[in-house]
Amino acid sequence: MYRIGIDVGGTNTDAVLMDGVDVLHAVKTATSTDVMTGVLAVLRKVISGSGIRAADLRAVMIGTTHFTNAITERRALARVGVIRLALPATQSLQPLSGWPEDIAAAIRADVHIVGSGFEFDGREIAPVVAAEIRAAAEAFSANGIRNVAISGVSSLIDDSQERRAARLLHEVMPDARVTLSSEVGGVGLLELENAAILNASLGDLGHSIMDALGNAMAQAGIAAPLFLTRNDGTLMSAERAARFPILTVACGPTNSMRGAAFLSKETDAIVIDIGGNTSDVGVLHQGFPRAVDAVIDVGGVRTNFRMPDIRTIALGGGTRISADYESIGPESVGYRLHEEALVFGGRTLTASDIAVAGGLAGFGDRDFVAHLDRDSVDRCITRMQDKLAAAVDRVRVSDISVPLLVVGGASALAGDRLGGLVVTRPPHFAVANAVGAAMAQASGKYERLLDLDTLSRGEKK
Amino acid sequence: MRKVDAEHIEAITLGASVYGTDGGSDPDIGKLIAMDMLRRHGSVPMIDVDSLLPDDLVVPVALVGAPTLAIDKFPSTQQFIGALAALEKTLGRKASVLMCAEAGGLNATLAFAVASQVGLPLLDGDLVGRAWPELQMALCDDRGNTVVMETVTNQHTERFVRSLLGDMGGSACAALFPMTGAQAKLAANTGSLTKLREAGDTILAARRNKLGSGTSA
Repeated sequence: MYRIGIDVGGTNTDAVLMDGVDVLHAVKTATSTDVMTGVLAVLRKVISGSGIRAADLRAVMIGTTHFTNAITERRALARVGVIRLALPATQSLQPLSGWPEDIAAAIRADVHIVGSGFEFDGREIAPVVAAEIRAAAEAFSANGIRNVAISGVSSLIDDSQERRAARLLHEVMPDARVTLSSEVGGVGLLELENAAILNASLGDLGHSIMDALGNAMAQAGIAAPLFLTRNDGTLMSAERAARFPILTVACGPTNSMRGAAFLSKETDAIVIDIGGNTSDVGVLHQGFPRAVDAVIDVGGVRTNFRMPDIRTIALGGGTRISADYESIGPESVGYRLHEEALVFGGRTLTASDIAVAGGLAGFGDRDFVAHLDRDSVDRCITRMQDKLAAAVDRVRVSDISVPLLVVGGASALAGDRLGGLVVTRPPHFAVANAVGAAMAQASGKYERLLDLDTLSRGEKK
Repeated sequence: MRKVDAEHIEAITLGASVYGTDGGSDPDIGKLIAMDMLRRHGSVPMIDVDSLLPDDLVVPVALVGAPTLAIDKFPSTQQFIGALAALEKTLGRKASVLMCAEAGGLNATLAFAVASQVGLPLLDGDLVGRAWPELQMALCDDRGNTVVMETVTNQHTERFVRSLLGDMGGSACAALFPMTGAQAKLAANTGSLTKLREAGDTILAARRNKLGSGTSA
């Protein structure tokens, strides 16, 4: 069963062709500023390079950082309308409480808190008042807002009010894109609400990216279904991804770690993914990334997604190094590595150049870095590896030796040993993230609150 | 007497997380509420037991009920004002000092929020591990319903409260177990709020100086 896994990263877009558990072919290409060009290029390369026919493909799975980046960079976010179903409760904390100022300013939310909500046992606090919802909808329309988040107290226990509010809203705004907090999941009103607001702010971007990806598939002649990978390493359909782009957050590190686990056949290991801009360090436990238990912040906003416990440092292949070799990042040339780095004929000193000059890697043209002072290069390599070792140390919870898997396009930076652990690069390490996407599985979630008082004994069993 | 401002709440919240040892709900919700209140109503004067006058009326405040529910239908300081008013009416006296019932978790930061809004000083101390002299409790829910209880034993208070809380939506804001300044000197667990702040300041300083493994990447 042929399928293609793709990872769209900050620097490179990688693709692998897999048949069952075998990696048949792998390609890398630079990530394009628009999404489609890079994805189309890599689809064509992997199909032509492997010799299969597009018609033989069963599925294409894509993991992308686009939506995460939009949030962390406060870019391409839409204005959001917010309706919270909660009065008289929750007035002590308005929606967007605790949000960093810059992202709150980027989405300029129009907030309406109205009466209703449910108690924890499913009793209605108050019914939804249609007039209040319609008034909010009129305000949104007047402000040109078409992306709306609806949250409600105890909506995970009973989502009927949120759904009713959405229906009422659509009567006034038939084209509105609505995210219900009960659909994005998690516990805690602020976290649920924040997730819904973030999702709504990605509404325009979600649809345009999914359209672009659909176009890329069509132009590559692929009729097989397209899936996007989620934060927990599972898949969602293209239609669902357009509606819930927030669920793709952190899929990158999850895919790298799952890919590393699969390629190395290790179930317990530390994994470093060294990419173009950053290195992400996580822990594999029984084949899955160790997840964070606490509140997760996405771009500084409290949410409650199940995400891998990753330490990120600003060190990757494209990290800028100052002329005196003293400053290592945090800026990076990102996807412009192939234009800017010295080894590719550019004019910017990057970590990749240091790696080649120091003999850790052999890509590009060594002559372009022959002039770099050897002692300074070696000291710089030591400092970069110290940073990686410190990040590895922060994720270890015991001194028991575990395999240290290094994956990603810039994995050469790690050398052979880090902090006393031997570095292992599994087969196809450079495209571990695309492998992780290709290995992702479908999943479903079923949550129900049961009232033990009303269930009969037989039902309880 | 020390003044506690909005910028001190971060350290107090960290300390409340440590001393709460995973109980007492999410102090961060209390942090957001407290910082908002302190910015709007001003700093909170925190006083030692030694500054208490014998006939001060010291009233502890606390959120009672299921901590998990408090992160969904979060409490408002308005409910504490309602509970306090109901208790004062029963006692025929006004509170002169507020007190934290438990210096850990959400109730630590909430005490500062309430003190800021009502404009009363907060005692540096709490009730944890202490038997308290009086057993009146006033509860206020999010709709403004108040219930005042005067019970003969602590066990009775406990049972009645648990029955009521379900109907009130799982949790309610309480003004409870009032005591005179003289009683508070004997009964209170003193200095505990300062301990929270010191613990929090230590953690923040360690992070700034990158000591230990820290949690920020």
